[in-house]
Amino acid sequence: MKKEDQLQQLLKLKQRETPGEAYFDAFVDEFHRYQRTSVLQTRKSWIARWRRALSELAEDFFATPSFAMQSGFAATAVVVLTTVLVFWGELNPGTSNQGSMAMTPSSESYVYGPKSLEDAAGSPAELNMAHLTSFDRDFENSSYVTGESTLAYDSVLAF
Amino acid sequence: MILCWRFKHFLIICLLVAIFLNNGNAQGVFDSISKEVNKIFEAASPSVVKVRALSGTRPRAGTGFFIDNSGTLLTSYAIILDSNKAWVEYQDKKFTAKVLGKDPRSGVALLKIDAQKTPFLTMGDSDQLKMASGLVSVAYPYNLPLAPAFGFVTGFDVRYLNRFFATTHIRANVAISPGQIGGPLLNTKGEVVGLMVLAVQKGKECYALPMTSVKRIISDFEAGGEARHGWVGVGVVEGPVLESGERPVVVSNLFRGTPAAESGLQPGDIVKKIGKKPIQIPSDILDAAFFSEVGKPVEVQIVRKGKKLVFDLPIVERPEESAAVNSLIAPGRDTLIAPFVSPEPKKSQVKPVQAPATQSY
Amino acid sequence: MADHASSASEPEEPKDGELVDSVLAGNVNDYDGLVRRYADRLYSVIYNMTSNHEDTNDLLMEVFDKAFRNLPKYKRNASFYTWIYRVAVNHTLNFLQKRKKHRNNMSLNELSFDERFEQDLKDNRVIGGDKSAELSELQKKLNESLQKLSDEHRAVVVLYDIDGMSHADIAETMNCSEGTVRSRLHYAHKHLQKLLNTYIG
Repeated sequence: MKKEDQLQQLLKLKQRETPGEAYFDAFVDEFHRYQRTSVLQTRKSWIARWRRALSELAEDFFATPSFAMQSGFAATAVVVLTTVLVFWGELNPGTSNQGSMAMTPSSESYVYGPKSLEDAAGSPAELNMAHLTSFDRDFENSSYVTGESTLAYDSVLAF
Repeated sequence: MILCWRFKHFLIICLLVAIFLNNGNAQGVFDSISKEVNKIFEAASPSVVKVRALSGTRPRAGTGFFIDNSGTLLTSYAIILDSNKAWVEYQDKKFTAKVLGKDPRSGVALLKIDAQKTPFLTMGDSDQLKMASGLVSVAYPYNLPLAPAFGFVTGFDVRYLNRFFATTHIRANVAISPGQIGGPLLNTKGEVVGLMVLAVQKGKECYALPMTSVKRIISDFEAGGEARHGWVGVGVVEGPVLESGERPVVVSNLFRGTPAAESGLQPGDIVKKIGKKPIQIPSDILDAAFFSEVGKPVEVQIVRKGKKLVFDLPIVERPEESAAVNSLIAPGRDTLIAPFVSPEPKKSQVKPVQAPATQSY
Repeated sequence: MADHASSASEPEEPKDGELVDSVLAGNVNDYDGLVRRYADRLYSVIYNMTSNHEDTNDLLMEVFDKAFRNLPKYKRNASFYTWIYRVAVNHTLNFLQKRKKHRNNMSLNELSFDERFEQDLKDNRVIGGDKSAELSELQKKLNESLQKLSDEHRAVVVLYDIDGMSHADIAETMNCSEGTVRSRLHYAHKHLQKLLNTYIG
C-alpha cells in the first residue's frame, strides 16, 4: 500500500471520533438551554468584555513602559470614551437595541425554543436574574461541570 | 367464655387499630421521607458551597463542601483542571481558595479558604453502603440555589462504557444537573459517603467516588501534595467463563520498565490474589491497585498450568496518564508495520491476548 | 457536493434550503432539524481541529448559535452545507488563535479511546489482532502529529481526509482557491507522513 493511501485510510478513521448517539440526542436540548442563557448574557458580557479588556490593557500598560510612553494616552482616551458610551447605554436602555428582547432571529437577542413553563411563568430574564448572587455575576457565562470527559480513564485494565 | 369473647373482641379491636395505624403510616411514608430528606438537607446546607475555577476560556462552575472547621473543602477535579486557584462562595462572600491537591485519576480536588469555624460535613463509612441504600445529594445546579435530591445506590461499578475508573464507584439514581458535580452524597444519617464526580444518562444517575477512596487520596495530599497511584505493571483481561461460572482474570501483558516486566510473570497466568485481596473479577484488581501504597511490596498469587505460584513485587508509581500507560506497551516499529502489509487473522475472542511482542519484554 | 446533505438523508426529509426558509419565515423550531443534521459532522471537524472534547462541545454550541443569528445573512448562491462549515471552521480557527495566547500547555483529550475507532481499525484491517494498546498508541501519535500542523493545514486535512469534503467545497468553505487547498493538502500530507514514519510505509 502506498504511504499516502495508508495515511488517508488512517485519517478517515478519525471521522468516527464523536461521542456517540446519546450525546447528539441530548445536544439539541443542551443547545436550547445554551441559547436561552446567552440571551441573558449578551448584554452583560459586553460590559464584562470591556472590563476584562480594560484590566488586560492596564496590565500591559504597567508591564511595558514603552507602550505606556508611546500609546498610553491615546489608548486610555479611547477606552475611557468607549466605557462611558457603554455605561451610558446601560443607563438608557431605550437607546440601545441590544437591550430589547425581540422575537425575530434576525435581531441580536432573541428568545428561542419551545415555550416552556419557565417562559409562561414570566420573562426568563426576571426568573433567572432574581436569584443571581454577585458571585454568579462575577463568573457569568460559566460552564457548569458534568464531569464527563475530564476523568482520566484507562482503556486497559492493569495493576 | 365471656372473658374469652372479650379477649377476642379486644384482639379484633387491636387488629383494626393496627390496620388503621398502619394505613396512617402508609400515607405518611412520603411525608416521612421528605421530612428526613429535609432534615439532612437543612443540616448539610451550610457546609456546601459553590466553586468556580478559570481554565481555558470560560469559568467552570460546580459544587464543593467543607470537611473541617478551618476552611478545607472537597470538590471535583473536573472543576479545577489545570488551575491553581479557585473561588468559593461561602456565606454570600467570595473567597479565593488555594488548591491543596488535585488528582485527575480519582477526580478529587482539595481546596482551602482562609476562614475560621467553617461548618463541615462528617464523613460516613461508605463501605457500609449496599444496593438500594438511601442517598441524598445536596448541591448547586447551574446558577440556581442549593437543591437536594434523593435516590438509592443502584450499583458499584468500575467501568463506565468502555472506560475503567481508577476504583469502584457508587452509581446512584440521584438526579444530577450540571454544576452539582463536586457535591456530597450523604447517607440517611446525613454523613457524607461519596463525592459526586460524573453525571450519566443525561443526569438521571450519577457516579460518586466512595469516601473510603476519597480519604485515601486526601491522605496522599496531606503527605506530599500529590496523589500517588501505585501499580506493578501487569495488564489483564477477562478470561473465558469456566465451568464453575467464574471468569478468571488473565495476565495479558507486562508493561515495559515496570517491576512486573522482570518478575517472571507471564501472559496467560491467572491472577488469584493481590496482597490480601482475592481476585474474582477484573474490577478487583483496580481496587487492589488503588489502595496499594507506593514503595511497599505486594504479593501476587497466580495459577500457571494448574500450579499455584507467588511473586513478590515492589509497588511503583503508576504513570500519571493512561496514555502514558498505553505507550509503555507500544512495541514500536516491527509489530505495527507487519499488520499493515498483511493483516493478521483475527484471534478468537476467548483467547487471552498473547501478542508475541509483549512476551519479548 | 452542493446537495451533499440532502442526498445523504432520507428522500422525505426537507432539504437544507427549505429548512432555512422555514426558520426565516418564523418557524424557529425547524432550526433543530439543521442542528441534528450537522451536529455530528461538525463535532468531528471541530474535535479533530482542537483535539479536546470539552472545547468542542462549547464551540459547537457557539457555532450553531452564531449560524442562527447570522442566518438572515446566508446567501442562497452558496450551499448551506459549505456555509455552516465555514462558520464552524472560522470560529474554530479564531478559538485556536486565542487558545495559543492564553494557554501554552493545553490538554489534549488523547485519552478518549473510542470503541468504534478500535473496531474500525480492525474492520479495515489496518491492524489485526487484539492490540488495543497499540491502537491507542497509534491514535495518540496521530492526534499529536495533527496538532503539530499549522491550524490552516490541519483544517484542510480535517475537511478533506477526515470529513471527505471535495477540493471545491473546501475552497468555498475556507475562502481560498482550489489551488491553495491542493498545495496545503500536499504539504500537510508530506509533513504527516514524516511524523508518522514509524507507523506507515
